[in-house]
Amino acid sequence: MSGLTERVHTIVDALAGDAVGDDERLGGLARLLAQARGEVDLEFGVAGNEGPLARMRREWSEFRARALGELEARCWVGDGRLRTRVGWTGDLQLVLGPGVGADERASHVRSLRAEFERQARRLEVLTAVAVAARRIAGLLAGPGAAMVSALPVAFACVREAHARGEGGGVPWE
Amino acid sequence: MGVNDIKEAGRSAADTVRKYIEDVAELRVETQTVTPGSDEAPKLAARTTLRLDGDNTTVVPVTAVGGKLEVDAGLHALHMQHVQTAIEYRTRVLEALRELLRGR
Repeated sequence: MSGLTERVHTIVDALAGDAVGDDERLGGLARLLAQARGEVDLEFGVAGNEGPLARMRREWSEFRARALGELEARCWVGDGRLRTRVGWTGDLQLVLGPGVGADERASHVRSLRAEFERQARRLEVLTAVAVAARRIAGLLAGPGAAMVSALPVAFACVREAHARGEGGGVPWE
Repeated sequence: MGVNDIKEAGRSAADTVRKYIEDVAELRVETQTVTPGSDEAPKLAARTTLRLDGDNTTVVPVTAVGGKLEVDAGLHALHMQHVQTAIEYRTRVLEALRELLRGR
């Protein structure tokens, strides 16, 4: 289990056990969960701004579209007479021309490994969202819509888990 | 969200997962050669296919030299480095899928 997923489980454990204490950020997640459960009124923003749950739904929707698009898109590493097309499942298509030296080859393989590292990281984030959503869906009282309602809250939990592990930043980058 | 929307969302998610599992069932690494300045399309020089069921194949080019068949060592080495890198990444993809399927 990745460190990110472990931290996500810790956060969901706290939400499930109503053990957020005086942690403000966990408290914010607990309020989101309560809103998704329908236990509290949705907080509408002022002056036309959206409330926290609506904002999280929008941000999740935007993230999901971008993440799946980027994950499925094949990209090229390198160019010209030494380039490799990379698919998210690991499929590779190496195009090799004449006169490529050992240093270039070694450098190319390092670049390929770096691209795979980025892809694996993205996959880890999406997996963590799905794992969190499955647990949060179990905390929601609704019928079949539970998973759909859980995903934005799960996304918020993963962002918090990322911030706690990496000290901030965007998990996808 | 209506009931039909929920059913559709569930069906769509299931289809997506099924497609992903089908996609990772086979790993394919191909090496093509190109001639700079030529309009010719890249030519397939080597291909390795690894399947989850263990059915693996590698096709590499050989050249007849003095009655012996010899592999292009440089091309083969780079191709196999790519295969190894892809295998390492695929292991992480499978770990992610296992994580998704694991209960807690």
